[in-house]
Amino acid sequence: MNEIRIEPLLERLLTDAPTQRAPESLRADIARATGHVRRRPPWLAYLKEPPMRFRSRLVVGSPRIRIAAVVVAVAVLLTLGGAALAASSLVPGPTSAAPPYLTNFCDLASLDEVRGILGDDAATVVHGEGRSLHTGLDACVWRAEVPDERVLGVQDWAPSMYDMAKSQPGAFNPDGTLTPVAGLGDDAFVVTSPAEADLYVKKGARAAWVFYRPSKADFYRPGPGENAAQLQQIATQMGTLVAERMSGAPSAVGDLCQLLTPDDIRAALPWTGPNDAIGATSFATHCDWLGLGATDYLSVYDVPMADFDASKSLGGTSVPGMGDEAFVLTVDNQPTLYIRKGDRAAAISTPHLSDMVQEYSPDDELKIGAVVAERLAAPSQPILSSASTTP
Amino acid sequence: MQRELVIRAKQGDHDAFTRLVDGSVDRLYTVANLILRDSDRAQDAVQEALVSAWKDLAVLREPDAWDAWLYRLTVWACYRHARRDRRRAIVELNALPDAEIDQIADFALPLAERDRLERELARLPVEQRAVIVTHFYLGFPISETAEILGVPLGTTKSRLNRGLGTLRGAFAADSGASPHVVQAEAP
Repeated sequence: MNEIRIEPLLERLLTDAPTQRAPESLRADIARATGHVRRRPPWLAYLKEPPMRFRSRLVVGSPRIRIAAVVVAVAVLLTLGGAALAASSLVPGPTSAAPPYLTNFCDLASLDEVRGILGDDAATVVHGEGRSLHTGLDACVWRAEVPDERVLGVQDWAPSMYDMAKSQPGAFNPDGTLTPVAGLGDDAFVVTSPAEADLYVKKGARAAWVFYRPSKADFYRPGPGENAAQLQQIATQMGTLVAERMSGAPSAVGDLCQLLTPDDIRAALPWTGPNDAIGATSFATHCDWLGLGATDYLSVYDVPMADFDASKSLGGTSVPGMGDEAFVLTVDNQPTLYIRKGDRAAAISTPHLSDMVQEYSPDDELKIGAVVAERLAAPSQPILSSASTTP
Repeated sequence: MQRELVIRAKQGDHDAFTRLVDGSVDRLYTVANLILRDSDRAQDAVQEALVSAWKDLAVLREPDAWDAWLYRLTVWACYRHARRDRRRAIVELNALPDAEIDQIADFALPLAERDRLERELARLPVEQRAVIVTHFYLGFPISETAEILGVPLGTTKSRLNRGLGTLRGAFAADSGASPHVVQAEAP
């Protein structure tokens, strides 16, 4: 019996297994469920559905679109947290043309300017710094709710992703058409589809992404009277303001992507792919690492002390023994780990979307947080203790 | 024909999707049953997989990969259902005594082996069972099994080896044990 070969038995057992007839009730349930359920908008579908290769070909999804989809999802969720924070009270307009780093992103346009761009001076507009999810340190989102919900936002954008979006606009907006925009920053273009418009602008060492999403009750459909040309016009008007006011200076905190190596990530998080499958994208205020797995996504942000303190004031669970001070702030089931060491702080987020195949536990964030805490530079120094920075 | 239906379904044609479901649901249900060993949970998993397919059809780039994608969605739905129940369910498996198997007439031995193999298969972790079902029942080579399951090739091979090793060990066990009840974690 020790010499038994189990494979032939299995083959016989399983290949002989008759195909079972699914119950009629199951067929009816599927027909009923799919007949009533709304299809996800493409960006959300790309977010939910991990890429799949089959016979060496990419047959499902796209890693690149997924990056953009994650960014879009974050931006949308930021609006919710921002709105909650703002509690419908209007925040004063811009006070300066400060560089669009950190929370200054919201200074890129005043509420009156946003109302003007949306073509409705009476619109109820709230904007938030988006502290609800992933810290919101790299974006500002304005939302008009009356008569229909409309979202206008600007987000820190990596120059490398600018070039990619320009060379492959379909990767970010599958139905979009690219139109160059003259006179904005060093280079700019807008990608417009019937349901959304995205403007990308590059200036010096930085780039920005401006997005406009009209949103009716049916997810992301243009409102009445909004055609593609109008969507493009709104994004371009906002892009003009952003291009004028954004800084083109390199990131003040250096390249955050040098903070962690693929080995660090794989040792702390349950990522499945090899090291060379882990890609890092450097932004002005954070670094995104992306792996092959469905939830292999990690962001580490530089956090100004004002934002650290503000986040702490929202509550959170203290994490003893990490840096000088650390806490986990959970909003909308999304925990973010904040760490302070002297006057330097960082925030760490991994995906906690509930219907992903593999979810992270809070412990995972703590593991990667321990590595980050160890490497945070001394007070008043660039965030990287050993890497060169370009202030 | 299927390719055309997939393209139409991607464009929002629900009738085309329903016809695709008609052509796939029996096989998906069988796969889910083999992995979950429970018809109710298999139905739930298949429904979940097909609703996901409808909602996310925009991301299917190659219509010819429809079947492979559905298998992936179904296996992953099975994982979710298995994990959901793992902590709360303990089932009792009534195991045939080995001595009884030995007494079965020669002509009935394959049936005994089949019965025992099914029981041992049911005791494997769901991840190992999914590899075995995808490889042996659906007939995909190991490399394509890994792609469908969405795990590295090495992981797929090791799950398969561990699963086969467990089954081999169970079959090689000494005979003559008295009738017993085995407590096992539900998959």
